[in-house]
Amino acid sequence: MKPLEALQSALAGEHAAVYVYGVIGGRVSLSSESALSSQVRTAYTLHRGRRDQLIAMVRAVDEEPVASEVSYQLPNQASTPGQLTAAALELELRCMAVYADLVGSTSWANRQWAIDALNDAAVRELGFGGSPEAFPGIAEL
Amino acid sequence: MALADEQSTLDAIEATAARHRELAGILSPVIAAHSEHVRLLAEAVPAASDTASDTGASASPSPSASSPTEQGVRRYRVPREPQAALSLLSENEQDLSTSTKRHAFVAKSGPFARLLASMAASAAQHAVLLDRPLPTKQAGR
Repeated sequence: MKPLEALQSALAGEHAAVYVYGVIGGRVSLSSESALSSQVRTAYTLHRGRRDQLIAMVRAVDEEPVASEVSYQLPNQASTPGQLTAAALELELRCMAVYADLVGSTSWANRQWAIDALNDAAVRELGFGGSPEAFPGIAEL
Repeated sequence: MALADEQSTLDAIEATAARHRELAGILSPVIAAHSEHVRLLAEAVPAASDTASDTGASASPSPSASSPTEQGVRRYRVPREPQAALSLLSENEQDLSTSTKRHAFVAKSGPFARLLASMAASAAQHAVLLDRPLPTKQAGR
């Protein structure tokens, strides 16, 4: 994959993550699910920041950043706390795959960014009930 | 070297598992993951370029009785308390994650960088996992 292509698909992934975390955040009960609620809020803020960084990274090579879709399909019905947690987990897993590809397609600062993003998502995933894997972000292994 | 770092982390975990049998449930998947890492790295790194060994298939006539401890691998002291033993392993994993990220950053090949970044993320997951407090009255789970 070309560096630009990898950056754009990471950005597309972040657009989806920001959208879905926004929906999840609106559905998590602040009172009865306060731990989940704060995890989701943290993740939302973080992914929004990542999205903005990726937009800047694409602009830095004089290209037009991919735009967000109008809406995205949620990974599941996302109504019970269990489903909301599973949806968040699914998002992190998808982001991890995109970040790993970005590591392999870039170098220097962009690669470092992707290495750190992958690492962070791998740890965040555990907070949403994910299990450790031997090769996070690499589906074929 | 990424391979040597992985190997010494694996040695430490195995030494801990041998000393604290009750931690098998926690440590077995971690051992499995690192064994996979070591196997893949040993395949990826051409035999000559690593300091760890000259893995010649030639019969070097030294049927050493002391198996894994000789080749520059420092003897690992396993803490007596299970919780302390896990905490030390957690620190090891954090260090491994940091050094592997560095290897990923400088890797010449994109696919190898991707692989290393994934291994670094795996180590980061282990660091979190091993840092969790043991259930009081450890039932071994």
